[in-house]
Amino acid sequence: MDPFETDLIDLLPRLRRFARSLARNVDDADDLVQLGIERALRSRDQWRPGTRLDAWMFAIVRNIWIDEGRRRARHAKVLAPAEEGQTVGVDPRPAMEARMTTRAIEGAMGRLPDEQREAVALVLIEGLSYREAADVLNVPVGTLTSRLGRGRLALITLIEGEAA
Amino acid sequence: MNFDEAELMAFVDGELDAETASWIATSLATDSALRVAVERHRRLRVAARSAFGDVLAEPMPDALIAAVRRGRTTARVVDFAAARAAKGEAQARRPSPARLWQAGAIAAALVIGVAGGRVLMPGSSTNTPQAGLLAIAPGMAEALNVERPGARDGVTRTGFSFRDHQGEYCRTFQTGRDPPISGIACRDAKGWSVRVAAQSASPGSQTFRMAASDTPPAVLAAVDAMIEGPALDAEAEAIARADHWRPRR
Repeated sequence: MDPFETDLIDLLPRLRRFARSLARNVDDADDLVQLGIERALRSRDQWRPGTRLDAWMFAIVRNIWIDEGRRRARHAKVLAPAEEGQTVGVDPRPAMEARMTTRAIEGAMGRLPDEQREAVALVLIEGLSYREAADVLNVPVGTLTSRLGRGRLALITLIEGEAA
Repeated sequence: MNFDEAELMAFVDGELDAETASWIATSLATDSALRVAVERHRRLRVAARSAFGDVLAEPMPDALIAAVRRGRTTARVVDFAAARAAKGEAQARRPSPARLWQAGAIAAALVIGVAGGRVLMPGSSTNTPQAGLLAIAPGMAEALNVERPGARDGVTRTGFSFRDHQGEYCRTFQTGRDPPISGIACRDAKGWSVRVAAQSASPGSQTFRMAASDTPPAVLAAVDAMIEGPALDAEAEAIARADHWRPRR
């Protein structure tokens, strides 16, 4: 295998994690990764060696997810997290201690609008910097931080709402 | 608490300017509301990361490894095609029909054993890659119809798919063990038939271990002679599968 393919194999666990945070369903997520691999191999000439392969792959997987989403017109109804976020004000300690479980997080992530979920996934889960995440999403840093902030507050509200 | 939520999040993310960050760090000692707010964002960050952390430890599906490796196989086939077009070596590269026929006979014998007594007889006696070389076992047709690349559950595994010069869909496959038989099956109006079969390297050999899921060179060369255009990608494969791999002319 050439270095590009070896690096791609090494990236697979993180690509699956990223896809899982977008798609939730395991099979959908793995299909997403597979389509991403195929698209990456077809367009590998466009990857500039020396730049981050993970960010490039995240962008490919995310674009496929967006395309698929348009095709199926998923997520007809989503929350209005900006308003949800405004209601955060109570002392969160007891609820957060007990309820920030894996299931609660996954459930709450699934209810975020796509643009907030992908920002949360790239920064909180994949550990990209604001600049890197903004590049993956092809938006200004200010847009990224705004989506990230609304996503976070919505997550907190959803998790505390479950707990209440 | 004199900081807004965006600043607290950036603080937790390590993205805040140094001056504001040190101001927050100092204030944490005396401002309990600030401590609660920062702790909440920190917890969310840790919880979100750990919630999806298990994915990293899951066994990797073979299909994904195969997708990366198939990229190489496909590239090779395409490269062959390009090279052939450039050099006009089409005839020279065509595999010897006699060699494939022999491999086919071996395949028939071995696959009969694998398929549990199902009849898998040599078909047409015209031993060219275009003629039906072997009849196909019922379980195998099912695998060719529905199997997705890289799946390893059944006796028969499929590799990649392509269309031949006649517009028929063809798929590479590997079936059986000790040693596995690799080949190409194509679907005409009547159904699947094996066009090419060759014995893969023995499982004990070094070659096999190094290239466990690779299509043998003889089969790749046959693909090279048969293929029209590039190998199918996942989307094209899904379309073909949905249409039961019926030939398109």
